[in-house]
Amino acid sequence: MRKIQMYLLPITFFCIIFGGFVVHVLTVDRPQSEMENRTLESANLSPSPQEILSGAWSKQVETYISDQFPARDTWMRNYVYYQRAMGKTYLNDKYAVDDKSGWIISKPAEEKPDEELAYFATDLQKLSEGLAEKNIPFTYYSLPAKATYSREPSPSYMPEDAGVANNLRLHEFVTAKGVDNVRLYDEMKNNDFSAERNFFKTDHHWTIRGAYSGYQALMKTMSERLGETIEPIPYNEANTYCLPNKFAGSWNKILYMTVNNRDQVCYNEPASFATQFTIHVGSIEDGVTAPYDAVYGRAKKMSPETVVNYAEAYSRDFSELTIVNNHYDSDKHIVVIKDSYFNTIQFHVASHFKELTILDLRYLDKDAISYLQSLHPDYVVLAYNDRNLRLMPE
Amino acid sequence: MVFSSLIFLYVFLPLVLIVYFISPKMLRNTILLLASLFFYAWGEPKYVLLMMISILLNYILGIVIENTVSQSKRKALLWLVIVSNLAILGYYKYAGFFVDILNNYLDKPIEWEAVPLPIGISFYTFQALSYVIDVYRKDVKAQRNFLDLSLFITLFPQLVAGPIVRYQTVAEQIKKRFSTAEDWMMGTRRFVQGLAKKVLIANPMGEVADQVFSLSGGDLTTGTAWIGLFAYALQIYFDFSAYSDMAIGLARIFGFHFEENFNYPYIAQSVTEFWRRWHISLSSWFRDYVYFPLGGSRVSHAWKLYRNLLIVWTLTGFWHGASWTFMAWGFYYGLLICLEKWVLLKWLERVPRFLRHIYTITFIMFGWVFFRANDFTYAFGFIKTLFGLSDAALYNYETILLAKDYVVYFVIAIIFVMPVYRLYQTWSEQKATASLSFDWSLRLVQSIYYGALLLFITMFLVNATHNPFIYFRF
Repeated sequence: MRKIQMYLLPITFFCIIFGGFVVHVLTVDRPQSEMENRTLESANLSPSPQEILSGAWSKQVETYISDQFPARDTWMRNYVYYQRAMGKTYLNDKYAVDDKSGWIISKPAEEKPDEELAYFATDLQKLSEGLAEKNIPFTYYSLPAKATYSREPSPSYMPEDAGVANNLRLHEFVTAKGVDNVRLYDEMKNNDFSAERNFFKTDHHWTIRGAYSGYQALMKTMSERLGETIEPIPYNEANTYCLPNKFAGSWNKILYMTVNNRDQVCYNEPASFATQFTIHVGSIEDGVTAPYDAVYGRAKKMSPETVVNYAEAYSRDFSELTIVNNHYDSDKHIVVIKDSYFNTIQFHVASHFKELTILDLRYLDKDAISYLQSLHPDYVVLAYNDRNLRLMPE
Repeated sequence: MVFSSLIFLYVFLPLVLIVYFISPKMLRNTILLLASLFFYAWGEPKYVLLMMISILLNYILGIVIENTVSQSKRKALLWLVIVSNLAILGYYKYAGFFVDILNNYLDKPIEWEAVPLPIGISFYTFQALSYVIDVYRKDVKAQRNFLDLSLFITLFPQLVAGPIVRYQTVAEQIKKRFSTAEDWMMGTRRFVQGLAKKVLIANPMGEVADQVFSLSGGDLTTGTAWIGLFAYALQIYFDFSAYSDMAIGLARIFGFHFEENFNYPYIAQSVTEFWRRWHISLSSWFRDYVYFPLGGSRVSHAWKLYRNLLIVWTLTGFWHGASWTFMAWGFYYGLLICLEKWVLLKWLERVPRFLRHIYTITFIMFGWVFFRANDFTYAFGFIKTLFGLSDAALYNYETILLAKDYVVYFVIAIIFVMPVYRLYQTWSEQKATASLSFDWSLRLVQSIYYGALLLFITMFLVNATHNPFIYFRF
């Protein structure tokens, strides 16, 4: 009789580990993790002898088991809750959360070494000189990033974020390399610039209000460079339309949506946008067109219960998008090399020019300079948020 | 494969347990051997062959030594075994180190491409050596069954990071063993305890230590250095003793009874006592196979005793890795133990207990600096920072951040460094023996507690990307 109770613990233990195994086998694999924004490892059932002998396959299987572990997102979410309960300052070693306001603040960036900034500046110089060979003007724009300008509330003992300093030093390097450049924050700062207004609390992007300020500043400086008088569309509060949907901010997703907030996806665009463009996914020659609402603001068509992310709210990243405008102010062909910050305002900018080509170097499988030369644009802009310090953005 | 990984816990272990326990007893050793080879091959497919060659060599020479009558031939054969085993170990672990030394004196340097260290080679080589030496000493009979000897050396619970199991300990158990309900309960409990020590304490402490020891001179403050050193001292204890706990627990589930490898070393009151409590299987290996053959303490002159101690401890340091810092670390302990033997222990007896603890902990902590550092420059720089002798500030934001974020882990670690839990366990087991109702309640609560703990650990494992054991690299 005394033996029976001894089995309780081993049976519990075995049920958990064997149960985990069975559930793992029975659960259908997920191809993608929405929260982690990455492709999950799939099962490699026919490894090559070389893969086995090198140990590469065993590592792949371990990653597969971890990636496809039953209820992975729930475990991960609970781990974030656990860190919060333990008072960890930077959750997942990345973000501090202010529960009262719902703001997620990134860990302060360290000062970048000169070499890293000079490397990016040299890449920009090569790009600028490559375009100059074909008499195509080029400007580098740094757009104010949430991580750089939304720093409060940060723990008082933490050092200042080096984002602004890095950005200023980068512009010095770029200027020294003879590349035209604009620090968009300088153009925006007098226009009621504030973190609350300009940035999402739980996402690393700007809100429609911040993006709109950015668009106006961008158009002002672009028109000066083009020597044309292009008036940006004035901000009209009456045009603002917000979705009732919950927003899945990128930083909140990294924290497994554990931060309650009131972030809302809003739009501010003239009704004419829906009809005035011919949108080519790729180049015009590729012949693939898409309607406006399939490219921009897809979330508008989603049910109010759907949680939407930035890409669904505004636009996903295309390797190339060509927007032909039927009601232009300028007959110029502009190329914008961009990161996701530009997605919010791509049609606002496009509305002024005859043709706007948008390139995302992360997905473009071509040599950038020769491809840009082949497009014969009138002007090329590279617009990255100021945390991106590489030509190939992260 | 790592014990503290999802693949081990939720794939390998349940499958091995099922196959093992549903198989007839005559097949169980073969199943364990195959499982052990698979376990090893998982991370090191190429080196399984090397391990099998090592086992075959020791198997054949063990039998040959036993069958040889002439003492001089037996001795020659023993030396052959020792040299062969050390040659394999030396090639993979020490050749690069010696080539570097030689190259300092050669006009034309020897070209040497570093070879990766096969996991667990130091452990299984020492285990094999102990077997053949015991056969030579006629303490054990040579194993005629190659599978059984292979199982002794490759048994997966202890294969890659010990404890260094003596053949004498498990020889009978390999032939015949029983897994009782108590073995399953004790084994499971010990395994989960070890897993918790590794995942919940050693890994967070490792995060702190890694962060601190990666800081360059300018960024390292005195406060941060102390936090890092405490964290490392706790990490290495919880990491290694956790592995031993898991090894002992797993072995127990399969019916093997291993010797203890740790006995709360940080409560020691002298360095000598510390080494009686830390990595017991290694220090007793060196005691039995190096220190005693050198003459041990039964020597004609006192200086020979100190010589023997210094040799043994320097070798112990060198066993951990091919670098001057490991040798220095071992020699440092040799010196301390010599000093204690000479005079210090007598003095220590006269001072209050807490001062003896402070003395011991302080010297052990300094030892860890050399153990962790890659070179002496870093080690001495770190020690200078600890005492504010460098230009380093007293503290900075990193000091506050680490202290604030990890204070709970430090407190928990310090509590479990002391035998508090063992006291509770002894008390509860005694009470359970006396009262059946208490026994039932205890087992029920234990099942819930350890089950919940396992799930809690799983949460950490799902999040962990890389959590190797420190002693894997030895």
